[in-house]
Amino acid sequence: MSIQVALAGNPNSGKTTLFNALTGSNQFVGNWPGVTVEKKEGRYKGDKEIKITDLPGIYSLSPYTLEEVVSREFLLKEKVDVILNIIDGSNLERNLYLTTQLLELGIPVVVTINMLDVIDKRGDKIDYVKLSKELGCPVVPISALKNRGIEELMETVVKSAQCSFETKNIYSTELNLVLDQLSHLLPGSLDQHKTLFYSVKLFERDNKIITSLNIKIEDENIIQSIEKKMDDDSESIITDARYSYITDLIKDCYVKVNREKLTSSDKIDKIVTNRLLALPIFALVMFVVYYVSVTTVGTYVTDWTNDVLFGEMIPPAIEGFLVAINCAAWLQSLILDGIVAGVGAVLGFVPQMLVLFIFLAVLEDCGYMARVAFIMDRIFRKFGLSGKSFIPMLIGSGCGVPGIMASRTIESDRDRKMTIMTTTFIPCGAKLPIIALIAGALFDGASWVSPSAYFLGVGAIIVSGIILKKTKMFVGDPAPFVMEMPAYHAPRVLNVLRSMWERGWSFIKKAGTVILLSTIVIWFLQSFGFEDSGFVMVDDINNSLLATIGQTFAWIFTPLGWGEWKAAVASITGLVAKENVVATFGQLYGFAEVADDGVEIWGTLAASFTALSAYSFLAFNLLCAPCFAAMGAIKREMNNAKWTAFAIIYQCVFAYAVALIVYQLGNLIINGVFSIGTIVAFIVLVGMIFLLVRKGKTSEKLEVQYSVH
Amino acid sequence: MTLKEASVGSTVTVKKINGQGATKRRIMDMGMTKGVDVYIRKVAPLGDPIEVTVRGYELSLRKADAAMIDVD
Amino acid sequence: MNLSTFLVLCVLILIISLCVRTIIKDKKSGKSSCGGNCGGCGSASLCHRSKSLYDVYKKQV
Repeated sequence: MSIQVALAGNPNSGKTTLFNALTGSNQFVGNWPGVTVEKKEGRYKGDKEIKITDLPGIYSLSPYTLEEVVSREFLLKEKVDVILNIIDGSNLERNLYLTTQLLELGIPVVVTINMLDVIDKRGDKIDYVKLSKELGCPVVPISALKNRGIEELMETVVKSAQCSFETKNIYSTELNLVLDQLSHLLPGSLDQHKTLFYSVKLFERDNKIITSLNIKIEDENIIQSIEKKMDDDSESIITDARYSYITDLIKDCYVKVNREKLTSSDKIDKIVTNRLLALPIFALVMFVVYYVSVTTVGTYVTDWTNDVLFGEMIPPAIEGFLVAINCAAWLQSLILDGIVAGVGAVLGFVPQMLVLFIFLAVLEDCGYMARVAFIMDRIFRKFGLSGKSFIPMLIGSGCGVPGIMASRTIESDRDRKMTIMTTTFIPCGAKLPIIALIAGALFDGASWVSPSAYFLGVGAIIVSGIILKKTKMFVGDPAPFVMEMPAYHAPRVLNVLRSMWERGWSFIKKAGTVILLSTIVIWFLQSFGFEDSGFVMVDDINNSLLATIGQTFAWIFTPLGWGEWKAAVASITGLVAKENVVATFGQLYGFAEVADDGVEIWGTLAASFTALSAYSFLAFNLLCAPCFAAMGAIKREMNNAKWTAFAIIYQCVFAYAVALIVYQLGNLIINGVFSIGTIVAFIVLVGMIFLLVRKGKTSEKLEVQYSVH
Repeated sequence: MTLKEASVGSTVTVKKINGQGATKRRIMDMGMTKGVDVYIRKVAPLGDPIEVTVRGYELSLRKADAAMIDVD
Repeated sequence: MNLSTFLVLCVLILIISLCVRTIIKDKKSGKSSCGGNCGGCGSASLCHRSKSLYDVYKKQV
């Protein structure tokens, strides 16, 4: 007999951990039909007949958020046999609020209390037997993290699926009288078990449900009289009733050890969100992340992979083999100058990326992100974004695609669009090789270069936020910011390693697929061209097709200090994937020749750039249009071609302006060079400052509105 | 007095939640209901939002939203 | 073209077709080319909130 189980619970209750523990690796991730809310399905490891659907993490079943509506619809429409409600034992009260709503649905519920270790450590006691009796459903304690109690839990689930189930009615006699009256309005065809749920929804005037039932409440008096009596709206009366019930319930079943002393989470919080220290600490954290992953590890591991592994070891070995078997020269060139040079240049930076990903996984896992949102909300709101915009940006430092997708967390349409447009300014993992290459080749591995790239990104976001906020398109009020602050916990080693590996592996995979194909195309374009004798394999790369193509648009970048076609071409190939910039450099500046004449790519690269033009190149490539994958994500999330085009054009124009200012004004300050370019750069700078300080079209309407009360 | 005006480090009791619809429901769903004790933990470094302890967990909300909550 | 060149070329073509196949397969299954998905993230729950709340919110202001 197959059983359909729905896994429901609050965000941060360990739902994902339990789902992974139950289903193992055999799971399917997709979206709910028609909406972009993640849907995970899997089968129980111990019994393939049990199908488990992971609902989104929700606090309530209200009609106001997409996640909650999706979950509700699923529970009502699909044939769910058992609801498995996971509860964070260290936060019983708020978690039980959702339980009271689930118990009304007329579907068997199994409550499972997670985080036993935390409860034990605190010394709190939960009376599971009593709780189960009061709620009228089985209560099973587990520790999802340590895999304790999972089998017992599933046995209970199977048993519950076969038993009859009583809906739990928690309301006072007075409320029940009203609910009973309303229940007569319900169509007779409705499942008897669901009567209570629908009556409550009628009472709450839940439009979505009322419309779906196709009925009308003729006599509002029933509801209004009780609203008047209790001096509140019907929705709040129900919410109040639920929490009052929980408060009483908890008194009997939960013994909380009285603790006055600060928990370690509080102690960390005291420092991390301290009024004076919060911002410096955040800056320091990001500095360390970039400094360690690019500079220190760069000197140890990446030097070895670049110089030894992909310098002295692999290319000569392959070359030796190809020569030995007498392979044609052009094919040797394709493999060595094309694929090995390009892919090798990218793979050389994998160690640095892995270090970056470890840091990001730790930051994501320990609960710091919510604090960053808390700290940054004020600043971000000042330029029209919400503190929540920071989460996409932090995720975006791993990869822009999930960063852009994470913007869904932002309720306000306006804030979300702005976040999507600016998230990719943050250097993602794939841009790390560009930063590392420039830092290593042109700045001798100076420690400030890589963190400066990060802060350049943050600066670009702030400046863009202010500029965009003042345009007509983004006029509007700030969105509400109500957010749970999860307790800190030590990052779980397995989680961190898994996250690092997932991201790292996909970069390696990308190097073996997308980058490999691009290197072949680039090799073809750089090896063939028109010379006196017609279309031939060229000796001089400057005669190649690639050079011809590059020269047609390289002039665009001359004002930025790197009008040479090689750099221009590298920037363009970066659109396929940002690592391609490095791969292309590897090919064009002769990576494979390392073994032959000992000239490193860094040396040849340094010869064709100055420190200033290199930084301008870096700035442009960090800020301009992201890779195609990220552009696709922008298009999906914007869901509008015009907005997508606007976002990408804005990014390119902004990147160009910044690079121009960096190069031209830098040239003036450092080298005293004054030219037309300098004047243009000044005009651009003044224009930017004007856009920054001009009076915007927004008003702080919301604040005014509230201060009237 | 509203929650917005309550001073840091004090514990207050919620009297009434003003407003209506989604925002009100959201705040109440998070456990801010009549009669519940709220401890004001801190204010963010730049003065907004605030962080409170309610029903044993930490919640952060903007002052603009806190102004909807009447407290004692 | 000698035999070894031919063989190396065959291997290369095989690798390329595998690349293309992987790219197409990933594209179809909706995987992004980047590794970041929410499965490995401890704060994933922070990100899965809805966008519709604001629309309702806007109406009442």
